[in-house]
Amino acid sequence: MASTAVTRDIDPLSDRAVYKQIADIIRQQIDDGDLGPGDRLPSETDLMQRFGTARATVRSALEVLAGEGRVTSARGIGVFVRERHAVPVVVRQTTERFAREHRAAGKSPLDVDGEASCVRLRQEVLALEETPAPPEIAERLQVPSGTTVFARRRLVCLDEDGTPLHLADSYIPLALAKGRVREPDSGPGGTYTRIEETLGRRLSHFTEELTFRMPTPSETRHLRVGPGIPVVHLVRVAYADDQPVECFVGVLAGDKHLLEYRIDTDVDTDQ
Amino acid sequence: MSDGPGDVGTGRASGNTPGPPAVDPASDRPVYKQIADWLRQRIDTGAIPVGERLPSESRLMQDFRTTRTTVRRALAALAAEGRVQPRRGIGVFVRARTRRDAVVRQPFERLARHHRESGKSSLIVDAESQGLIVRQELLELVEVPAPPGVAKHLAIDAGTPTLLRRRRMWFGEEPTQLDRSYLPLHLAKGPLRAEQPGDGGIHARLEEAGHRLTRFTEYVSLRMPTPAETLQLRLIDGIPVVDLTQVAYAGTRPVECFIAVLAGDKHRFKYEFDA
Repeated sequence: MASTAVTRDIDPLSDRAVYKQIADIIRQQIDDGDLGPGDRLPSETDLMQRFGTARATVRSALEVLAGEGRVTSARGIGVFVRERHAVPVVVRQTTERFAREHRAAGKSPLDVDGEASCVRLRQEVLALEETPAPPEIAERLQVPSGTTVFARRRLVCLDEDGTPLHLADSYIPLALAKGRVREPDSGPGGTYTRIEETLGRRLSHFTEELTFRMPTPSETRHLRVGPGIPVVHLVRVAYADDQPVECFVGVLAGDKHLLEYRIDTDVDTDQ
Repeated sequence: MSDGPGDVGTGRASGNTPGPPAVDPASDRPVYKQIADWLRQRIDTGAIPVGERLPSESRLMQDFRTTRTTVRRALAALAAEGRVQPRRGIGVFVRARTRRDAVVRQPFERLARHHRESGKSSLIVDAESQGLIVRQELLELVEVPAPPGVAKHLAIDAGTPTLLRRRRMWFGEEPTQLDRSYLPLHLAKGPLRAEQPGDGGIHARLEEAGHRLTRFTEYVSLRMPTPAETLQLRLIDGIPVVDLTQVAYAGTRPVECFIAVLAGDKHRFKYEFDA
């Protein structure tokens, strides 16, 4: 579609900063397919020569592209073009993953995700602990801030190569944090099945709230996301009728997830 | 909720705060990152609340005994994380991760039949609930061959003619989303071809034409914006964009494919579903 890029040069008289012009030229080459996913960019030295600029200018240009998630640098090796609209690693079919029949069959939501995405997922338990509820959790669980709750903190990874996908923190009121909920493996059907058993009745519904941001340094470390990769901050509350029984906070690597929601609109129709 | 402790009201730092720790020159961690760490921690604890200005470059140079370049790199790192917003000639300010006036997008609510029947389009439902004025800027209304991805969602062959409606959405004075609606051409008749589809939007017109909408599927993913999107949505550094695809079904038949790019800091999505 795009016209074949001529080898553009920087315009020293332009108002646009030189490093931005260099980023523009490289970005255009990526868009035009002259540089494909996985290709290595010319070295800093080559770029300095080609554009007749200082190393600092070339570095700033590369930082711009990294911040846009267009390139990724491997220290000591070089800078590579990132797969941009890569097929997501995990498709979360939200309504499907919480379907009762799956839980009844002993499948956890992660098992459902894995099946839908043709991958195997595994959890690394980071902590199982009693902790004061942070304000955003307390508010959702309708308890005073600082009330002790049980937290299951996990990192969900691809089983085959350990690629981290998302951080998963589950907060459960102490009264419901019994038995295997406190163990690394919460058993068939997962935490929600255990909560229903303790509660003696079924969960009724969930709310899921999504916000979008860049990761914190600690999230960056856990999720091993490079610059230019945002995260989805997902807060889910599980209800049994009007009683909130669990609050889940997920931080999902933005380049590895596709979230799917199905909305039936004919449910409450009076016709 | 995710605005960080700055929003929680832990109170402002009272009076003089202890000076910054000396950077550790022997550390493996670069000095600019150590400065960024310190500032980030001050933001996280609410010592520098949302909307407040960070210490000036000169002040930071003095306090950390370092060069302007190093201080600028630290500030650039925080900007790329979306934690601060530089305002040229004024200073660098702490920003909320998701703005307090973010639009709460509640598809389960907004797509409900009773809202459509009351003549409100789904977008207006979201905005009105927050006292915002919505403006839809029509950018293009043309017939185009269905791109492959769209064709797949509409269960038609790629290249089949569709009616494309391209818009930019404004909430108040700010652009919030760029969107494209694709209708199979055989459905795009009468009011569905009009520049202004009128009360209730395209969904209401589809139903009037006898296509009772029974289901929507939404796909949500996240990425950094392209430079063109940055301009059109007036984004600052460190703000991702949401890719949203929504397919409307009449029974089992897909009737509209809607693709939007939304400013990540101006939206909060809320879904509800049965257990």
